[in-house]
Amino acid sequence: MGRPVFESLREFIATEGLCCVVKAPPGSGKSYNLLESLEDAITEGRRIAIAAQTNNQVDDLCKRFCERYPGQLIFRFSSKAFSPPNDTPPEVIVITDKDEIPSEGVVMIGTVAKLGLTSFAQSYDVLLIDEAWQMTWADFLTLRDLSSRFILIGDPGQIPPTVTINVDRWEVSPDAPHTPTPDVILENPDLAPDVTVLNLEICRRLPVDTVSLIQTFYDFNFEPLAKPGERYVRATKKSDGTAVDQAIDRIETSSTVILTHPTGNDGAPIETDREIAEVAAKIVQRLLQRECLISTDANEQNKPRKLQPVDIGIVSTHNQMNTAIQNALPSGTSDIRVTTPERWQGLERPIMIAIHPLSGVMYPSSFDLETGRLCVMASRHQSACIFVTRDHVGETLDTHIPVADQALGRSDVVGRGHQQHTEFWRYHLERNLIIK
Amino acid sequence: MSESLETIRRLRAWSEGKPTPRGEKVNVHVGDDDDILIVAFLRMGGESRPWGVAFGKPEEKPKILTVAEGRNRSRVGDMMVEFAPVILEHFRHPQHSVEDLSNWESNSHRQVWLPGPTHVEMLHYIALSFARTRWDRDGVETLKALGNLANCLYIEQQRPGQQTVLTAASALRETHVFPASSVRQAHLGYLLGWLQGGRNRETRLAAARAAENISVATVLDPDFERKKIQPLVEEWGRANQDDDEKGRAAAEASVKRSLSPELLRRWELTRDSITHLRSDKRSSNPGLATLVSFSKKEFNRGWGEKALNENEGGDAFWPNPFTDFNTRMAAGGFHQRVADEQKARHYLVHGDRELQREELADGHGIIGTVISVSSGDPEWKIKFSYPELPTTRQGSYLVIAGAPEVRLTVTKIDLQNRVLIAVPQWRNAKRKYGKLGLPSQDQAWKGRALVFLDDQPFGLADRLAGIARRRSDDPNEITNIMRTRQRKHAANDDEGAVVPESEE
Repeated sequence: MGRPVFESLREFIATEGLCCVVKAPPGSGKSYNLLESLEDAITEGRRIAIAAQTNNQVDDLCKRFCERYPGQLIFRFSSKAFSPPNDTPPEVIVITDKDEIPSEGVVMIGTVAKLGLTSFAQSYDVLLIDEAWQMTWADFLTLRDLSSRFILIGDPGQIPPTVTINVDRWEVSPDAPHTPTPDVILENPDLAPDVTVLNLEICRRLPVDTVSLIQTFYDFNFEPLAKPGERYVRATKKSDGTAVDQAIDRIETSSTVILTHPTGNDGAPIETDREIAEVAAKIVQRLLQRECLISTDANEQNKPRKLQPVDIGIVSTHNQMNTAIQNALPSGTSDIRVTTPERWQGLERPIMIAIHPLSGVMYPSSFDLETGRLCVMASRHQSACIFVTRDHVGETLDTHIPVADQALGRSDVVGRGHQQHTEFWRYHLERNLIIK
Repeated sequence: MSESLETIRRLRAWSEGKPTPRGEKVNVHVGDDDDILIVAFLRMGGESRPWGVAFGKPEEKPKILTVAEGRNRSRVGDMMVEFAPVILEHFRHPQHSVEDLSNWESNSHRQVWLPGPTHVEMLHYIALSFARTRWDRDGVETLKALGNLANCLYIEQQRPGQQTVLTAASALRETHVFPASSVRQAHLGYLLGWLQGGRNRETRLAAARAAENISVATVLDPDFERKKIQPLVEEWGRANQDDDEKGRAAAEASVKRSLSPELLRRWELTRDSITHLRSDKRSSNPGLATLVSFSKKEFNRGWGEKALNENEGGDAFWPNPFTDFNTRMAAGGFHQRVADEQKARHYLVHGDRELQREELADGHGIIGTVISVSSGDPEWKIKFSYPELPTTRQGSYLVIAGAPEVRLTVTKIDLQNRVLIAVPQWRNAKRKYGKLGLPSQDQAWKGRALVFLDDQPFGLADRLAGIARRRSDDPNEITNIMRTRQRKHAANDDEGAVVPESEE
C-alpha cells in the first residue's frame, strides 16, 4: 500500500493546484480521508468549505468532524427550515445568516443546494465536495464563487445525479451539464494539467466475496480489508424451512443472496408491490426471531454480537415502496432505516435488505438498467445483504435486448448496465445463491 | 403520469365508446387564426432533408411546395428560400415583416403547429443545414435566417410548458383520454378518427383503424413511395442528365401531383385538430395565460432579441444547432429548464383538478383534514386520507391546492397514524384566495378537508440558472480554463450539410 491519500490531499491543500479528484470504492474511507486531509489546514487557520449532497450527509460529516477534531468549531450553514438532529454536538454551530460566519480560520459546511444559492463575499481557500459523483456539472458551476480550488471525492460506480427534465439539448455537449462533475473534469483536456487524480484502493466495509461481486461496476481495482470468513450472520434458532429462513441460512457463508417471490400469471403489480414489502418485513421478523449473531469486523469474528433492529437497513428505489415496507415492518423495529439508494449513499449497516431494482420491471428502461442503484444496494452491508425480487428477473434479462439509443459519441451506458445486471444475476445463479 | 390512473381513464373512455375530456380544463393554448401557422413536411425515406412542405394559416388554403429530387441540395435550397419568408414573416422577423418585433410584450403570441414529432425533427434538420451555412448562392441570408429560426423553435419546443411550437397529436392527447395504447396514440389520424369517426364505439374505432393505415409522419408509405414516386424521380434524373428541361418540368409536375395530397392530408389533419380544440366547451386553465406570457418572453429572449441584434448589425449569438458548447451557458440552460418544468406544473396544477389527481396519485401531496390549529406558535395538525403512501418528507413544503402562495413546512410526518404536522408560512389573510387565504391561526381552518400539493420551488432554480451562467474575470477560474470546442461536423463546414450525391 502506498502513501495514504489524506497525506496527498494535505499536500494539495497546501499548494496551489486547481482540482483534485479522489475515486473511491464503497466503504473505502471517503469521509475519513476528507476529514484527515484538513488537519494541517485547520492548524494553519485556513478557510475551508465543505459541501455535501444531502442534509443527512452534512450531519454525518459534522458529527465525525467533532469526533476527529475535539473542541474545533464547525459552522453548519443551512436554511431556516432546517432543524438539527438531537445528537448534534455542541461544536456544530448552526447558522442561517452568512454574515455570522467568521472571516478567518473557519470550517464551514452545507449542502450543495444551500451553498450554491448563497453569494459569499470572501472566498474560501479550498472547497471539498463529498459524494461528488452525485453532483451535476450544472450544480458544481453554482459553487464557483465559494472557492477557486476544489477537492472532489466520491464513488464513480454509484448513482449518477437525478435528472428529471429532458436533456436532449446537451447530450452531445463536451461538458454536459447533467453529467457527474468529476466525469466532466476528468474528460476535459484543458483541465488535465491542473487536475490531480487519486484512488482509494482498500474497501473497509464489505466482506471479501462482495468486493469481488461489485468489482464489475468499477473501472479500477480495489481490495477488501476483510479476511475470508471474518464477517457473517449466523442464526441461533432453528430454521422453519421457509424460503425466508433458507435465505437467512445462506448468508452465514455467502454475504449476498437473492430471495425470489413468484411473479404470478398476471405479472407483478404496476406500482407499489405490497407482497414484496411483506417479504422484506418477514425477513426482518425472522432475523430477529432467530436471534442472529453478527460479525462485522475482525474483532467480532470470535465474539459475534446479537443482531438488533438498528443493525438492519432496507433499501428500495421508490419512495412509495419504502413507505409500504415501513408500514409492513413488525413493531419494535422503528430503528430500521428504510429509504432509497440515493439516501443510502455514504451510509452502512451490518445487514441490508434490498429490493432488486428490476423486481416487477418486465420491460426495463434505460433508467431501470442504470446500475448505480444496484451497486449502492449491493455495497451498504458490512456482513450480509439479502436481495428480494419477483422471480422473472433472470428471464427478463435473458430476453430483453437493450436499445443503444445514446447520442452519437456517447458510451452505451444502457448496454453496459444490461451486461452488469446480467453478470450480477449470473454470479448468484452459478453459486446457487438464488432462493425460490 | 400515474399509470394506474391513466389505465382507469382509458377503460372509462372505452366504456363510453369515445375519447373523454382529460380534466375540466384545457391546458393547451390555441391562438387566433392570424397567430397560427400550420406546417407539414415530407422527406424521402432514408433522407433527412425536406422533399415537400405545406404551410398556411388555418383559414387559408395551404401553399404546397415540392421538389422532384429530394436529395438535390440545390433544389431543396430553392424550395426553402420560397418557404422561409412565410415563416419568418409569421414570427415577425425584421427583414420579412412590417410588424415590430421589439413590441413582443404587446404583440400577439405566434405559434407554429405541426402534425407530430417527426415534423418537429425536420425543424432541427433545417437548422443543421442552413443556420451556419456559408453556401454561396442566392438567398443564402434568407436560408440562414430560416435555419436560425428553425433552430430556436426546435430548442423552444423542448422547454417544458412552452406554447409556441405545438404538435397536434400531443395537443389532442393532453386534452383527451383515448381508449387506446400509448403507441397507437402517436398517430394523429388515429386520434382524430376516434374523435370524429361517428356516433358509437364501433364506428369511431373503425375510423381510427382506417386512419392509422395511412402515414402522417414525414415519410411516405414505403410501398407507395417505391412504386408510385420512385419511377417519377428516376424520370426526372434521366431528364436532368440529358439536360432536358421539358422532361424535367414534366417529372417535377408529376412528383408534385403525387406528393401534394400527402402533404395536404397532414396539413388538414393538423387544422382539423385545431378546429376540434377550438370547439371544446371547457374553459382554459387560468394558469395557461401565464405560460403563454412566459412563452412570449422566452421566445423573444431565445430568438427575437437575436434577430433584432443581427438586423442592427450586431452579433446575434445564435445558439449552436447541436448543443450549448459554452459550459456556463449549458449549465445555466439546464437549471433554467428545471425551473421551467416546475413553473409549468405550478401554474397549471392549481387550476385543474385532474392534474391535482395526477400529483396525488404520484404521492406528491395529500388530501387531509385540519384537525388542530394551534393558537400560540402557528402549527397545524393534519390527518390525511389519501394517498396511502405520500412521498412528502420532513422539511418539504406543501401548498394548498388553488392557493399557490399559501404554503406550509412539514415538520413531522407519522405514516402509521397518517398524521402530519406542518407550520404555516403565512400569518395574515391572503384575500385573493378567499376562504383558502384565511389567517393561518384562524380556527375556521379546523375541520376543513383540503388538498395539499408539493410546492414547486422554481424561484430557486431560476436563481441557480443565473449563478451558473455568471462569467468570472479571473483567467484561472475553472470555466475560463476550459476552451469551447465545437465538434467537427458537416453542419459547421463551409459547404453546409454533407451531400455526397448532390449535383454540386
